[in-house]
Amino acid sequence: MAKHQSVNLDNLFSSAEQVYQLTQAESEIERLQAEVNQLRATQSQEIEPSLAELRDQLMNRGLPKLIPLSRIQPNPDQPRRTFLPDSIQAIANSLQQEGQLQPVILIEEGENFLIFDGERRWRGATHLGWEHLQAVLIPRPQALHRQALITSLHREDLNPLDKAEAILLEVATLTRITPENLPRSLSAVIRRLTKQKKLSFLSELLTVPSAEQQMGLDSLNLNPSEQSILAALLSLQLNPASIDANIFPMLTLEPDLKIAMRERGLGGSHALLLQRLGPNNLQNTPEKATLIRQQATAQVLAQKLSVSQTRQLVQDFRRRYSSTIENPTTAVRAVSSVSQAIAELSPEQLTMVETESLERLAQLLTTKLQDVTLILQDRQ
Amino acid sequence: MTVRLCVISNAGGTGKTTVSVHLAYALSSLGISVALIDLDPQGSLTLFCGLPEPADVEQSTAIIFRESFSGNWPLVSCWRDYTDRVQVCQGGLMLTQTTQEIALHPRGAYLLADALEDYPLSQDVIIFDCPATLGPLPLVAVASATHVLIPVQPQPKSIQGSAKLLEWIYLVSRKLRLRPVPQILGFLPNQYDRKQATQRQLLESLPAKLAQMDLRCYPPIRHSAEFVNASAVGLPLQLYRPLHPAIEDFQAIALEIQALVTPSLEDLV
Repeated sequence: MAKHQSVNLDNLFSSAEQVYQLTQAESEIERLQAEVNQLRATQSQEIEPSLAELRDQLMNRGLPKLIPLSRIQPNPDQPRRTFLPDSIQAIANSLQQEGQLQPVILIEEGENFLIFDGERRWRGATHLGWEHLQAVLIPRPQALHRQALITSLHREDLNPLDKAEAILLEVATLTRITPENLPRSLSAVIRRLTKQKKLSFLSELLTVPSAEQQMGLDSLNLNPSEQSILAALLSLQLNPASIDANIFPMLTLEPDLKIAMRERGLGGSHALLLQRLGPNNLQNTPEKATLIRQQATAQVLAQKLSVSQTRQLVQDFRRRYSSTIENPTTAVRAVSSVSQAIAELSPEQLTMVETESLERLAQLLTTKLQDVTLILQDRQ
Repeated sequence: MTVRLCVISNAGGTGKTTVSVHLAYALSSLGISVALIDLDPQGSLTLFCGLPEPADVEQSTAIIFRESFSGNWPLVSCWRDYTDRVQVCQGGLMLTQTTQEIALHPRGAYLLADALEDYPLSQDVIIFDCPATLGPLPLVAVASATHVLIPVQPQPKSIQGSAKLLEWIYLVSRKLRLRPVPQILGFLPNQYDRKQATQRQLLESLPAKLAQMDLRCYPPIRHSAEFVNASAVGLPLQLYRPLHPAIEDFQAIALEIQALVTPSLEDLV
């Protein structure tokens, strides 16, 4: 027999460690940034070691990127406001002869970048007519949240309801579309793309670089909000069609089902099936429907039913509870079949049955006649 | 300094209340005063401390989160025949409503920290006993804590849960922009049965793993049925079975917290 397999702690802690390292790196960057700012304010000459350390930290997070000069802006908080033409010329010469030796440090600010360190190099490069500079980026404060979100969104054990809420929030923040309208807009565009047979094209965009994603989306003739929703989902490496089909429907679950998912481990597919036990399907009041649904949920959890068993159970419940309840069509059918039965009842048949049965029939007809009379009076 | 220790775990049965209660008594024996704040709607602390149920909201932790709270902490003395250094703020079902109040309040996550800032407690150590979920109540505890202690069972499921808890604490500290960030002391394994090979193996490898995140794995608290027996009569093991060997298992963590409360001479110089 194989030796007892011990638990793989590396796996269990991989995600926690990643967030820990991101947090550490980020507070280190914050600390160094503050330190440099302070040294600048005091006009200290000791600034270079701190800047070098900050640059190293940022390079650990990602390789330097080529940033177009047009998207780089001088930092309004930069204490040194005057740059002598001579010093710009000197740095331009050095850039021309030796190339860019060190990346500039930029702060992400929307679509653009503020200069944290390297304003003279930026001016020198502009003077030379360069198009790009090598830069390392100080992340925006939300970046950690986003990076962590991406890690956890792709973890399989995340409850689909939490996943739905996290994705909705993130996409709403990215697109500035109100969360209430977002799932509907997504559904509409997915339906249309399905009809146009372009859904697989959309899914293929998942694996291409972001510039191509953009071009791909441009070719789909979307309205601006649809385009921004799809772009946001793709940027989170999520397949829009699958979010629409499997994840966002979780948001419309009844409160009792959400609680069962969060607190009692009800599966997402199970919850969506149980959701079918609603007032409309059961032809019943919302209160009664909730009770019926809770009863079914309890059974699914207690007997640990599979998805297909749950589907069967939901069908049984629907049959059991909706058959007893009237709707206009069944009512019409019931009245006409009774009328027909009464019409067909011949006097011969009536004389053949016992007095007791006739008395019961007479009483039934009398009470029903009263009901019918009352309704008819009401209608006149 | 005042240590505000959040005892937290996202699974039930990991020994949060057991750890809170025994740590509180161990600290009181070292001359340190302790306030135990129960943030759990289950109110287990009431049982473990041998107290009657709080009569109404005014007598429970729930009052701290009300607009009307004016610093009148509902503290009751605990094990008063033996010590005058342990006070308890009792939880209970009233806290289920508090969860919603926190969610709706504009200062939500910071409500407990606000209360402690506006009306400081005089005790050296304040221990928050959290419920076994990751909802609003643990959130307010993390947001007001200086330190965090994570009790775990030496079992894969519990360790897995605590790994997620770590992630949650890092993210929450960041998201709430806590300054200073509460320091996670480490994991405190509980109900340790050294006869079980899986538990032994787990505890052999856990410290190295946690060290990678600058966290400690404290020496485990051994399993003993006497913990349950002691809780049934509302006493800590130290009072119920004063010679029980498991008592010494709390020493390491108690001494560490004592060191946080009373800075060493070196720190003072």
